[in-house]
Amino acid sequence: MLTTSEMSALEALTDTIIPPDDWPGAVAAGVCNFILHLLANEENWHVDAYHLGLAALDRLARGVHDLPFDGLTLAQRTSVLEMVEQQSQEAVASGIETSWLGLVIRHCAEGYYADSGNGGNFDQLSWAMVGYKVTI
Amino acid sequence: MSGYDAIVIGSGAGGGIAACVLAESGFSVLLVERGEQLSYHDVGRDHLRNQRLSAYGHNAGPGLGNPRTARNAQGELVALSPWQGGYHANAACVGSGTVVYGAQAWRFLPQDFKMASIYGVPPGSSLADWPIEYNDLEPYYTRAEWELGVCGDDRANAHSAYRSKAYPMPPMRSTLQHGVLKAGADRLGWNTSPVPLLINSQEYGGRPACAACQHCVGFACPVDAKNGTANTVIPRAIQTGRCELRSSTMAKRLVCDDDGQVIGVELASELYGEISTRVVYARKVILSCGAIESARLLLNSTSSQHPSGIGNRYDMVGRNLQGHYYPGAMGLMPHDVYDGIGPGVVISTSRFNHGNKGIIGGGMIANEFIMTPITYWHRALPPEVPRWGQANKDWMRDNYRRTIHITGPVQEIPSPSARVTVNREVRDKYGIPVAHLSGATHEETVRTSAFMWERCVEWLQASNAQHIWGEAPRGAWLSGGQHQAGTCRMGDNPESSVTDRWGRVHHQSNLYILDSSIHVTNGGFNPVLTIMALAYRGAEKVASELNGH
Ligand SMILES: Cc1cc2nc3c(=O)[nH]c(=O)nc-3n(C[C@H](O)[C@H](O)[C@H](O)COP(=O)(O)OP(=O)(O)OC[C@H]3O[C@@H](n4cnc5c(N)ncnc54)[C@H](O)[C@@H]3O)c2cc1C
Repeated sequence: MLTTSEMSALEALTDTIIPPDDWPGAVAAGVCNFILHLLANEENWHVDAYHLGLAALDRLARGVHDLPFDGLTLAQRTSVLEMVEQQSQEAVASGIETSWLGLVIRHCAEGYYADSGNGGNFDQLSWAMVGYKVTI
Repeated sequence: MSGYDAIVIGSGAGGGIAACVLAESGFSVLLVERGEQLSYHDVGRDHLRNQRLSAYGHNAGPGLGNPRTARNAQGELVALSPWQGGYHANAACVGSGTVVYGAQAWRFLPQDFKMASIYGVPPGSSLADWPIEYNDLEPYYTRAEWELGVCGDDRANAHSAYRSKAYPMPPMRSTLQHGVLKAGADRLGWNTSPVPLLINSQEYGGRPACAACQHCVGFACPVDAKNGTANTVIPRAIQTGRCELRSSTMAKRLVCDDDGQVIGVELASELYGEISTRVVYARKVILSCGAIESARLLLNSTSSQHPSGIGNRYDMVGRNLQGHYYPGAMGLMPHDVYDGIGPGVVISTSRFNHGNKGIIGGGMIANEFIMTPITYWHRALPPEVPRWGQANKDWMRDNYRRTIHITGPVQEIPSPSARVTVNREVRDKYGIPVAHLSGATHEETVRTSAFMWERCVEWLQASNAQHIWGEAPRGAWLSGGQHQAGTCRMGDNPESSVTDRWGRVHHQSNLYILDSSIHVTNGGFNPVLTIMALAYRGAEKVASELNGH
């Protein structure tokens, strides 16, 4: 559904939204897996938004840092997303939409915190992190 | 004409009870349900598709092919799927909402039946007294509590009314939040009580005690300790050998004789995409489809005798749709207040249901059920916390277990323009015109909600919350949803109500409505125990009529 380079950008993006620390980041928790599953099903009408959004994000990264988005450090990626949120001039020029970023953020949270049956939250790691334990 | 003694349409809270009372009184009953019979595994534990967080679907129906219409914020007419906002879904399966509900089992207060007398009628509202009083319903509240099984402490609530019998089970076990909030309420001088629940706190009715799981509201019970109609009165009805349950079957319209009296129902069912219909007859027909669908069925039952639908001579069917505004606030506590003991809702106060200076009515407030982590992320984050990045992850990790949520249902002041009509341009999968929803609640509902929101904040402050967030509801919108009620209100005057004080539709001798539709007002409490009590009372009346009295 997404090309290899789009996948790589998606991984960089989701790991910016939920970065790794003592606990896994989005990628290690299966969030991309979750998103691909969703885009193949209920959210298939958002596939184009992902193509367009990832391309625009890459343009923005190259414009600001001369590097593709997935070539940036976490701090750089974070500042790029802040530009999108604040609708900076460069962000607007790149054609990236804040509503798309909002959508990806929601998908990330759902992939990270919902039940593993949805394809993310591997080994229910996020539940262990927040302290939600299923006893029966 | 051969047929059943009674047809009950809808197998939720009201319908399940009506079927049981009639079958156990010796009558033949056809119980019709458009949804399926669901097992615990059918309902599942999908955190994104359940009756609490329906991001991409839900788990207890209705499914696709059952749209409703409404106007969106831009004024455009839109068809809504059952899990979209504005659809106002409850559930559609054998047992309906009672399979997945939180099971709070509240009685309304005596004042809730006399709202107009106590407060006057605000201009523009349709506030009215019920034609019956609390004392008329009291024996049936007791019956529902004992026959389905409710746990609670009848002596703890200083604001409750007379009851003829104690709860059959002691309250649920205490939790960390209970201790913290009790101390806060004590500082304020507020009386609190454990929340009564239609859940087994100990073995009851041949089923085990609650296992304190973390998936109660919005899901089915893993040990069958939650008492809905699907695991109590409906199996009892079937056990008599006189009740036939037909699920996945839709009542399309009511059928009348030459005098315009209801004598049967046209049913539709789907097999491999093919729709078939047939008419079944009965001496009595009972509508228990929930407030939106019961109104829709009446409005869709047009004929030469009933050009605008049955019971709708005075344009009353579908009006006064109401539910509950649910103001709430979240507080960050100094310590962990999560012990994982479900259902989680344990402590409440009924101090503010009435007697609030300058306010009409009020509501009960309680702490919230355990939230799944993703529901917390969607609904409980403070506004200033970023939705992404390290700060968001830190908040979830550090504060999921430190948050208390206080919330509760506000007694709504009904508006006649908040209503269900039918949209003949849009059809469901059976070809039946769908419900169209329009209008909004009365402004007084918003004022009462703002007042109740302040009480939520006050309780959190007194309980030592370090930080409090969540906003009071602003603006008047249409209410309904899981607590939908009021669309066929009961009353003594046929020009301003749809049914009489028993639930019998005016000018109809065989047609009853026994569900949330007949509520005149919806109390400041979760409604299901009142729906159940009314169903016991109305079904007894139907049985006595069938006996020739
Ligand atoms: C997640 C959740 C939590 C809840 N928690 C609580 C709580 O804690 N306390 C409380 O008091 N209430 C709670 N409720 C609300 C409670 O479930 C409802 O108030 C109650 O079920 C309404 O009863 P009713 O008889 O009016 O309608 P329902 O119980 O909705 O029954 C109507 C039934 O009729 C069927 N039907 C409709 N139209 C047709 C037709 N044309 N032909 C055939 N069948 C039809 C529907 O499929 C449905 O099964 C909750 C609900 C949900 C979903």
